Amino acid sequence: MSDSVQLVIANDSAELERLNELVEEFGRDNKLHVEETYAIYLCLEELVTNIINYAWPDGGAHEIIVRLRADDASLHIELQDDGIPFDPTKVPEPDTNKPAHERQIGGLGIHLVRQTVNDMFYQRVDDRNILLLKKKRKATA
Amino acid sequence: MELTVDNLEGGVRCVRLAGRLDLKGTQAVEQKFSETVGVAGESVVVDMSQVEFIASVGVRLLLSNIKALMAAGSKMVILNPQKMVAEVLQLSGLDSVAEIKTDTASALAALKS
Repeated sequence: MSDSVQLVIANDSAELERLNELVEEFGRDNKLHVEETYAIYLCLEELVTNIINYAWPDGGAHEIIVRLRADDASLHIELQDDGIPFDPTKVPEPDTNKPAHERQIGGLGIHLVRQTVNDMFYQRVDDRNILLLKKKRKATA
Repeated sequence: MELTVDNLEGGVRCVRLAGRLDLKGTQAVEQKFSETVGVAGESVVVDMSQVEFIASVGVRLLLSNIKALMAAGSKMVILNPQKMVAEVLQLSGLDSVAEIKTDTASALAALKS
C-alpha cells in the first residue's frame, strides 16, 4: 500500500514553511515515526535550499516539484527542477581530517542527506534535474 | 525561534534556544546568538533541550560561534539536545569541537575541564 503526494513550490525560501507542513501532514497520514518525518524534512530543506540558491544563476521565478511516497519498506523522495545541471551525488564529502569548524563551508548539507538516506540517484532528463532519495523504514514493533 | 540567557552557578551563562534551527529560525536568531556567544567570548552552556529541529544552517551557526570562542580560549558545551538534533550534531562532527552533555552539572564540569 503506497501513498504519494506532490507539492509544487516556487524557488523562494519562504516556501519552506509550506513544504514543512506537507511533510508533517504526510508523516501523520502515513503514521511515520517522528524520526522519519524529521529525516524527510531535513533532506528537503538541505536540497531545496541548494536548488533555490544555485539552480538559476540568472534569477527569475521557477518551480521545484517535490514528491513523497511511503511504502511498507521505504520512504521515497523525488525532487525535480529545470535549473542548471547539478548532480548532488558528485559533491565531495567534507574533510573529516579537519576539525568541524575548520572545514569548508559547502557540502555539510549534502553530507547530512547522504547520512540520512540509503540511496540517492540523480538523472538529467529533458533539461531537468531529477533526484531520487530512498530511505528504509524503521522497523515497527 | 527564541533565545534567552540565564546565569548558572559560578557566573556561567546558559543560552537557551527554543524552536527550529531551520533556515528561517536560524536567520531570526543568528545575530543575537552571535552577539551573546561569539562576540562575548566567554565559555557558555547552550541549552538545546527545546530545539525541535536543526539543519546544516543551524549547525553552521553553532560552528562559527564555537570557532570564535576557541579563538578567545573559551568553550561551548551543548546541553541536552533532543535525539534527532543530537544525531545531526554528531553527523556534522560538532561533538568533536564542543562537548554534549545531558545535565547541567555535567555541562558545568565540562566547562571547567
